[in-house]
Amino acid sequence: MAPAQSPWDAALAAEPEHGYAGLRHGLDLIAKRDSEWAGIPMPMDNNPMVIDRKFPNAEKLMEIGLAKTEREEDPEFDGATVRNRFWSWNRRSDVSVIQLANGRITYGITPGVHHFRLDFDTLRASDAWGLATEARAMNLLATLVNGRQFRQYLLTGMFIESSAKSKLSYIFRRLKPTVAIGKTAIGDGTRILACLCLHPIAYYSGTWAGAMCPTDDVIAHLMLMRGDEPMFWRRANQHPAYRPEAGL
Amino acid sequence: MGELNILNVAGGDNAILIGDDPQDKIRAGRIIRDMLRRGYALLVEVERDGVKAFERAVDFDEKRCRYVIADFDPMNAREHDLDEQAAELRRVQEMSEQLATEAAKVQELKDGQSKTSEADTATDTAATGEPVRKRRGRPRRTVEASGARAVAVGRSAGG
Repeated sequence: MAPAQSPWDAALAAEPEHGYAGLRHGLDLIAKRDSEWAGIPMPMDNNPMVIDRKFPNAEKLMEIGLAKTEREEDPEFDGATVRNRFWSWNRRSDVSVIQLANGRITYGITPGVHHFRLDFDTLRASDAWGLATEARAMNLLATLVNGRQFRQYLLTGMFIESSAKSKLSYIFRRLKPTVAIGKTAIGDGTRILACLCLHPIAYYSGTWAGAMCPTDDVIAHLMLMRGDEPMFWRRANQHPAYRPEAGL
Repeated sequence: MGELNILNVAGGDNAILIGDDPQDKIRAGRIIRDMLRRGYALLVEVERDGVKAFERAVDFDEKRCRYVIADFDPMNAREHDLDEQAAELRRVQEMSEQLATEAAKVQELKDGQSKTSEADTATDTAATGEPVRKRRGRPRRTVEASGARAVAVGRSAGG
């Protein structure tokens, strides 16, 4: 009688039959053929992507995710453009001013009290990643951080590291922006300077999910912070701590 | 053996091993140059004052198979600029003092000083001369690719 499979083995064994495994493999082959060293981001239904504008065919890839969301499901907004978007402290919401195709101006409100919607949509985007991909990223991370940091990452999904250059501390978090912490003006405590959100190549709009698996995103943050901190700040979106996008 | 880990979307991280084999080096050189052209950030592990750290490669020397890194701490760029400006100011002040001294000496010569003192003055001027200008710009350092570890991060889409 064959020994029973552990849940880990079962999950890994089922991986090739996973819904997006075939597409992921196909895109990987195309990326290798075209020398796309970082691969091709995977388009998914109902998960619009934001791709680096200079990436080949970025516009076409971004169109795929949009197909069933804004165009087909909400025909009223077909051809609509967002004229402006601003934060309202009074409503504690993002207010979007929208111009419809017929010229009428309307507005929409996106509450900014919590980030549950981002969390929920990240669940759907998780279909884009493979278990083996994440496992490889974890192996790489283990060689880049010390034992304590890796243990913290495994148990809490985050770890802290300070920059010798800027004296700032960073909390790197899985599937959340990196928190940059500095001293207060009078130097008696600490304060959150910003939450730095950055995804190499692409990310799924309105989620915490990047095109790369979660740990690869963490490695990208860590490497950029260590190698070129000003570039890390330049390339990242800097969310204030009070915004839901900060993930605090 | 050098190693370049490329963070990859679909297939997980790709590792390129760079050995001493010339074919390896040529292949790696082409890949690295292509990545830099496409805007990838290449973070190379270096040893700075006995401590291992990562620095961003700004170029790759294909002939010597070496990463070219900006051996300059960008966080201190402003301090360096300010130091250089202060040094330039000091040099200008020194030069103006020298000019004033020389003008006074010329005036003395005109008033009928001896030939010996004229020769001394000429020697002084040549000795003090125009200060040697320091070369500006970032000093660069190279790291052997076949012995270094690096991680490549693709261009950012924001977040």
